[in-house]
Amino acid sequence: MNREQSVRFIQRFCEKLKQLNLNEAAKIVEDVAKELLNVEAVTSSSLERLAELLKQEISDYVDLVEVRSEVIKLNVPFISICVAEALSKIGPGGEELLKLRKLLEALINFYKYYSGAEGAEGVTS
Amino acid sequence: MCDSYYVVTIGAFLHDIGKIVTNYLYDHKDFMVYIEKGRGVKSHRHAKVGSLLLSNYGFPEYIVHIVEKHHESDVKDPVKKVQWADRFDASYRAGTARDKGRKLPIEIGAAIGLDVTKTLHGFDLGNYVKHFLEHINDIIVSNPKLAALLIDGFYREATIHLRSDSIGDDNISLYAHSKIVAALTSLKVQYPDSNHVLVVIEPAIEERAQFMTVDVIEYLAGLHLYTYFGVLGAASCMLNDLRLDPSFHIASEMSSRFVVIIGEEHVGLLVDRLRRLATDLAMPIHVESYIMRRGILRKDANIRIEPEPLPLSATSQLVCDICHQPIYNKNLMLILKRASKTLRLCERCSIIMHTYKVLANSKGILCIKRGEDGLLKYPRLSLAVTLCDPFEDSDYIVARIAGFQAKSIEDKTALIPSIDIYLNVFRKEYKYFTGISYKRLLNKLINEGKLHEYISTVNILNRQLMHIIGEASQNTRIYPLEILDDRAILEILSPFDLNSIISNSIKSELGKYTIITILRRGAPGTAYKRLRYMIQEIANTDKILAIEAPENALSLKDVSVFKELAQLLNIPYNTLYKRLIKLMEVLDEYINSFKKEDEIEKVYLKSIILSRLFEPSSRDEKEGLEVFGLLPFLEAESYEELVVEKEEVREKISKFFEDEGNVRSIINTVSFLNRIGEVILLE
Repeated sequence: MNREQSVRFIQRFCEKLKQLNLNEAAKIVEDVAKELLNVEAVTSSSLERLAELLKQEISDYVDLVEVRSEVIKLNVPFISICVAEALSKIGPGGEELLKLRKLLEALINFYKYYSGAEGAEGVTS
Repeated sequence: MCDSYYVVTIGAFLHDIGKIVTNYLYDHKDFMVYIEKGRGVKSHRHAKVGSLLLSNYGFPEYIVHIVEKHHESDVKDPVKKVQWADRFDASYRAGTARDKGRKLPIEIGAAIGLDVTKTLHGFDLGNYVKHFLEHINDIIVSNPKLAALLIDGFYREATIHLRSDSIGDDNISLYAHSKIVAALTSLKVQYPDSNHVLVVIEPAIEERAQFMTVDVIEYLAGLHLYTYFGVLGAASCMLNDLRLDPSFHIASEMSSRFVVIIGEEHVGLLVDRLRRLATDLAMPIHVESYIMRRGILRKDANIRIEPEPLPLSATSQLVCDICHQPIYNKNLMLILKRASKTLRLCERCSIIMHTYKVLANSKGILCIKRGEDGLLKYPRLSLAVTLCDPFEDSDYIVARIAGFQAKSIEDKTALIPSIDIYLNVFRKEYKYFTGISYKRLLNKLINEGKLHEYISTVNILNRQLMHIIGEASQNTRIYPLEILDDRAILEILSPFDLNSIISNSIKSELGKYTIITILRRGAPGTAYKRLRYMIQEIANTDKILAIEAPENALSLKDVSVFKELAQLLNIPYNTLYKRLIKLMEVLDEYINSFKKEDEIEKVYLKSIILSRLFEPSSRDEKEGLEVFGLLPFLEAESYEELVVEKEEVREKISKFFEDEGNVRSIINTVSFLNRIGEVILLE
């Protein structure tokens, strides 16, 4: 994939996230993680921080706004914006949030796996 | 008398007897000083000590002369013949002295635990040697053939038991050396211009044993016994016809492997004899011959002797219930009444079964005289069979071939038993079978031309196996089915008991050569066949790991998948196992996610598996490369640069985990290993 194709591929993933088409996003998450390796400003630690933010309890809209603002502030290219939009659609609580968390963790694990960085601390849930 | 065949060869057999004393008394400096001062012996003192010993006990002067002079120059026949044979054999020892493998037999001895406290030592050894020397000289004069047999047994016993752990000579291989020198001298006496050949005979017992079923479990014992005496008989009859003594020329004898040293022109005669046996048993026999040159073993021939087909009777309607071949002679058919059914056995299978029946009919000890039933043609051995169980379990039958003039199975004067066969009735509970094999080690030694090590090892491996099994069975319920020269098949009731047998095998000096196979349950015939197959297959591979279970657990495919993953990750089996065991919970959930078709759960679990599998190595690798400043040598500025090159491998591993079958195999293997203990994984 050249850079342009790579960007389009990542954007496709982002669209699916935004639309909460999470199962479809899951099918390409591994390849997206590989492509993210070539995107400057995406780092293992920034992705980890993103996952940590998502793990926070979101019981009402105040929590939701706070987490969304932190995600946007983190400014992980491509990912921050679409995750923030997905959060808006999901709202507080709900099964979809759990799925989104898992998807993001998978993205980070694959990113680390292909980058050779240290492995995930994640546990099964 | 002085030039006779027996005098020369007995002299050859005894030529290094002094080494038993000098090696034993190596740390008794006073004794050695006395010997040197008193006799003026400085070099080759074992020759002098040996001759002193023999003359003190009244041995014939001509034998003392051979022993004393076998290292001196300017000697005449018969000493010259012994010297020639000694030098010839020494060339094999010199050839391998440069290798670490030279000490192998000693290490085996040490591994067996032959030390001062447990074995013949001090007064025990002294008395043993004294007792032997006191009696043997009379026999040498009156019955040299019998004397040769006794010397053979004495050497085997004394040299194997010598303090092999703390001295620097090849005490254990002393037996092999004496045997080879005696054989070569004997050939030189009878056939001065002959080329010498080492013949390895391996009856394909496993091919015949595949017919064994739970109804005819005695078949295996009969098969081993018939094979053992059959090959022994064939080889010794041929040697007797040539007026060569079997006790010199048969360097090692087990039912599964015979090693014979003969002249090149005699190989055809031996093969003819063995062909008759192969036909009798309807069992192929492998024969490999190696030309012995100075320090080199060159493969000469590799023959598979096939049984000759029997003429089929036109009216034959009956089929043997064991081998499924037509029964062509009803008069020779054996009918066995079993609980489940009545079995009809063909002539060949009847003979095999009959062998066992003859031996097992009598309770307690039964010694069969030479020639009875045409089974025992080799004069040195009598056969003892006992129904006593060494593990105090009446389900077990033990067949033991004991030594010359044995009055009972426990007779201390008997020579070392050559073979033990234990059989049980395959009770119907869950159990494990395990096989241990050293075939690869033996193949390695002979392919490298290490004649000495080969013969010594063949002669001692049985003890190694007995030791391993003996140690392991102290606190566990481990039952041997077969203990042969290079392999053992055991039954183990609990998987936890496997730990004991496996760790004992591995921690021995031969651990790296140990092949262990494990089979969970199965019908007796199938279990036996599979174990045999596994041992045979694995003997030809480099890595050592074989686990097989036909029911609910592992298959060879599982093992190969496990191996494939280890190769992809480029890590040892043990490391992979350790990583996977931590991931078992995730792996279980992952395999369940295939059924649920939950894409997110599946991809999430897969990502955890992949990242954790790589975790330790990548971290270690990164640290190693950076700390030691190795990156420039790899033409990389950062570790990540190298990692990109590994992307292809990582993709392969990722694909590996997309295959549900692979994941299942990995789970099977890891859970099986977990039940058994990680120690099974050898590198």
